[in-house]
Parts: sequence; structure tokens; C-alpha cells
Amino acid sequence: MKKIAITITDLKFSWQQSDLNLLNISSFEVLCGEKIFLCGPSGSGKSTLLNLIGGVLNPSSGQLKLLGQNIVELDTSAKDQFRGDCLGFIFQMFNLIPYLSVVENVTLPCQFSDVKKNKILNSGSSLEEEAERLLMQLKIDVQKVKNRPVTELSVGQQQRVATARALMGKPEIIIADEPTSALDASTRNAFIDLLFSECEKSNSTVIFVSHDAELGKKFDRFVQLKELNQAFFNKGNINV
Amino acid sequence: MFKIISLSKKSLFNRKFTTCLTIFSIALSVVLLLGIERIKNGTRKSFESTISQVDLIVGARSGPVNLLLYSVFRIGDATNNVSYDTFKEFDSHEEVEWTIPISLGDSHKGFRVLGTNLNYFKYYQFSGDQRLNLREGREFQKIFEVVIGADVARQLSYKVGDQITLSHGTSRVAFQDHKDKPFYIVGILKKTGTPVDGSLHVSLEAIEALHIDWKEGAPPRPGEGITPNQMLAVKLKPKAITAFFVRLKSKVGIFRMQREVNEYEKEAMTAILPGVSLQQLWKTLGLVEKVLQVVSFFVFAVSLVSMLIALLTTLNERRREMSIFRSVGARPRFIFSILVFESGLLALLGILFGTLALYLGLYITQPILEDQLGLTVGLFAFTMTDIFYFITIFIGAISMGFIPAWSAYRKSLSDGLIVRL
Repeated sequence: MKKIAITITDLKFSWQQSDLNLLNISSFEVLCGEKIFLCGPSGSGKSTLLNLIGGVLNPSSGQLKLLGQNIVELDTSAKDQFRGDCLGFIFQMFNLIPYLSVVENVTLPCQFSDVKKNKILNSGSSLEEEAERLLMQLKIDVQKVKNRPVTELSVGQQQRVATARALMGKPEIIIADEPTSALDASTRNAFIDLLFSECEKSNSTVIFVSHDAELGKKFDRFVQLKELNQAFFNKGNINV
Repeated sequence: MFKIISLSKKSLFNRKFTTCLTIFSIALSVVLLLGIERIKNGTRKSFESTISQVDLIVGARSGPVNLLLYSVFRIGDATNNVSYDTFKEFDSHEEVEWTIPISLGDSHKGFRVLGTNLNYFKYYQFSGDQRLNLREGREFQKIFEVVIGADVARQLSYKVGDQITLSHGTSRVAFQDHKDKPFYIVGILKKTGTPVDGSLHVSLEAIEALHIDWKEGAPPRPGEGITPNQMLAVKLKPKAITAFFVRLKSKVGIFRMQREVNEYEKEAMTAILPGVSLQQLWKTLGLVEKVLQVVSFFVFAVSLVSMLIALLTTLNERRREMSIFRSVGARPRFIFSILVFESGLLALLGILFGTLALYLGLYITQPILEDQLGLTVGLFAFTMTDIFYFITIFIGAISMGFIPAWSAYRKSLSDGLIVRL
């Protein structure tokens, strides 16, 4: 039987002052290595869910297990450490630290996580070698861009560098928040294919968030956040 | 810790322009704060060492500052004279080691003429134990010989052997010249950085000779005056002097001697302790230095505010950067530290460059300051005040850094991982 990457049970979130739940998920499970497409327009609680999984928000109640660990129980710095060790993030755009080089951007997670660092070093390659390998896999001409400021890269290149950073140290879960929204149709598909092939190599779970339902076909599972999040319906009812 | 250093270094370098401006403004305030401190100390030192080794200054009864001003700084005029006999009496006093008489009242093109005797060259000291030295020529021996200070020589381009005319009175535009009695320059003194540089020194007899044929305060009518040649034949005895400096054999007797002068029955006189009076005078002049200090503190405050602005304006565009750090596992504390560290680094670089600039500036200007103003500015030693300023600037900058750091900390908490700009 496959291991479970994410288990959500009765997860509720509201800001302290209000009784109104922004998020209310009774049950949701993601298996290890699964590629989930999470479709949700803005306001559907997408950011909240990602911040909860990332451990930068605390749920009002319920359980949120990542790789068997209920992160709700962890203290804040343990959450930060857990995020650094087991997760990889790709954001919509401006994914890179402008004053670091391409390779420095890719190796950044290893500065905060010894787990990721040791995984790479134990496999027998240096951090830079691993970064260059990943970049090459993602079709970045490393020698060409190595010493150029990251701000000079094209958006597509920037997103691939960010992907390489997310994949560094083979984290169990990759969270991609609309990584393709700034790309055109052809680079979008190529990007997703590259992301998939790399995640398969490291057996990473992918949570891919987008409002563009069109992309969902390629994924193992297509989830509408609207259906998952009961709070959304409640809120909708109130609005009506 | 290492990653904070290397990241903030790179982050600052990425914003070269604002970083340089901020460093420049901090460096500027360092230069001002330390420079003013240096100049203040230098001026006070050279001020307080205008005259040394003198135990008492004696003149006709007046306020101590007035006496100090005209006798030492040659500013203003004496209210009255001291008779030569009285001076002689104190000169031969058993407790007195030496005296220097001074007689003021004449001038040459705005420079003061000072009548004295050879003790002046022998005993006059400044800056501790520096004595007067001749750059050229010799001391005066005959009546119509004059030894000029370094500034007089430089500004009027005089050299040994030149013939000059002294004027009656002390205003720059003299209306009564002693044209009938020309003087010859026989010596030029080395630069001292004291009022000696701006003085012309003649013998007491010469002062007497200048006015010997004057009647009721008016110069002799043409034909009635005594010619210089006749003068040499006359045995001249000075009648009065303006003031005299006294050195006692033992310091113990200073206050008794001062009282003796003040209570002298035949003549109303005042004796002052030069060191004490110099300090009193400096205190009244000290307002200027306080103002300078306040101004440089304002520059310091402005430089801190400009640093604050430089850091705060970039914060919004750095929100995404912070969320990237958070996403790879950085704690909020890290976000806070990186910004505090940046301001600390700015302050350190500012202090470093400011100090370098100051020393470079002093190194270049020191010979000029010393030559033109007689100002010795300490070059290599850090004083406690300097270190106090360094610490103040550093702590000030760090605490200013807490504002953007705290703001970034709050923002990164509320933004979480997903920043919507």
C-alpha cells in the first residue's frame, strides 16, 4: 500500500476575530507520489490552504498530517523546520532572490535545511553539482546563465530555476501555486512535463494549484477546491 | 549566522546606489562628529597653550579677561599703565625668578607692536616648553631694531634688513605714523601658532623713543622733533609699561604673590593666573563648539533617518523575497535579523569609511592647519569620545534597523507564503 502524504481531517480555519470559517475541509487525502490538480478561483481559500500546509497559519481546529506528522501540534519553529525539510514551493512569479546567482538560488533550501543538504551530500554530489544537474534536467543552459543576474532570465527560465530550487534535496511534497500563469501555452505544457518527470524521479507528491482547469487533464487527480471547502458554500449562501 | 552575513552583504550590494548613499551619509556624520571633536580639542589645546610657564600676569587694575586679552592675545587696549618703577620693584622681588615686561599701544599695518626686553626671547614659552626661535636674523639690540613674528613677515612679505614705520595707536588705518623714526627688521621669528606670530617686537626703550618728543599727546611739529641720531645719544629710561609676566621661584607663593600685587598700595594693579583665566575665556568661547557639536548630531540624526528611509522603501518590493525565504524554511526571526544586520553593516561601513576619510582629510590638511592656524590636530590616537561616538552611531543605526526589521517581520507573518502584491 502506498504511503499517505497529506491527510486532512475536519480542518477549520477562521481569523481570530470572526466566527466565519474561511476554510472547512472535513476530509482530504493525498497519496505519496500523487499529482493533484487543485482548481480554485481566487477567494476559494486557496492561499489559506497553502499557508496551512506550509505551517505559517494555524488552523482553528482539526488535523493536518503531513507524512504522518500532525503539524498542527508542532511549535512555530518546528513547523518552519518541517517546511524547510519536507516541502518545496514554486510560486506564481518573481520566484527568485534577485541578488543571488542562479546556482545560489537553487541551493538556497540547503542553507535552511540540513535534511535536504545531507540527502544531496550523501548521494555523492556537491550542492552545486546537484543544482547544475537539476537545472540541466530542466533544460537550462547552466554555463550560459550561471553568472548572469537572475533578473535577466526570461519568465519561463525563472520558473524552471524555481522548480529546480523546489526539487533540491528531493522533498516529499512539492507545492506549486499557479506556476504557469505567467507562461504562454506552449511553454506551459513543456513546463508541466518537465516538472512531472523530475517529480517522478524523486517520487515527490505534487500539489498543483491553478484556476486554469484546462491544465488539469495531465494530473492523477482533479480536485475542485470549491467542492472540498465547505466553508466556500456557506460563504456563498451568505452572500446570496 | 554566516548565511545572514553573506545574504545581507549580497542584498546590500544588489542595491548599490542607495547603499552607497546611506554609507556616505553615515560616513559624513562620522567625519563631522569626529572632525569637530578633533578641531575642538586642537583649538583648545593651542588656545590654552598660548602662553605657558608664566605664573602671574600683572597689569593695571581691570577685569582678568580684559588683562588676559590685551596682554596675551593683543586684543583690545589696556585701561591704564603700570609704572616702570613698580615693575622694577617686582622684578627684583626675592620670590621672582624672571619677568617679561610688555608695552603695547603702537601698531604697524594692523599688527601690534610690543615693547619688551630680551627676557622675552629668553623666557617666553608656549605649548608647554616651546621657546621662541628666530627663523632669520637676530634679536634686537639697538633702539630702532625690530623682530617680527612669522605672520607679519609672510603677510607683508618682509625680510631682514627692510625698513618700516610704526604707527601710533592700534587701529588698522593709522592716522599718526612715527615717520620720523624708521625701524629696521633684524630678525624674524619662527611660526608659533600664538599671537606672537602677529606681533612686532621692539625694545622698551624704542617705545619710549617713539614718544619722547611728543607733547601733550601730540607728535612734535616739523623741525622740533629729536632725530634718531640724537636719540641714540640720549639715555632712554622707560616710564611705564602695559603689563608684565611673572615667573616665581616656587609655585607655592603664587597666591600670596597675587594678593601682594592686588593689595599693592602705590598703584592699583591686578594679577591673574593665566591658566585659570584662559580656561574661563575658553568657556565663554565654548558656545561655538557646542553649536558645531549640535549641528553634527543633527547630521547624524539625518543620516540615520536616511538609512531608515532607504531600508523602508525597499521593504515592499522585498516582501516576496521574504516569503521565498520563509518557504524554504526560514523562521520569522531570520527575516528580522537579516534587516537588523543590514543596518548594522551599513553603520559599520559608514563608520569605517568616515574614519578613513577623516584621517585622509586630516593627513592632507594637517600641515596647512598647523602652518596657517598653528593648530595641532591629533592624527592617530582615538580618544574615548571617538569610541563613544562610534558606539553611539552603531547602536543608533542598529536600533533604527529595528523599525524596518519589525515591519518586515510583521509583514512576513501576515503575508505567509503567498504574497499578493
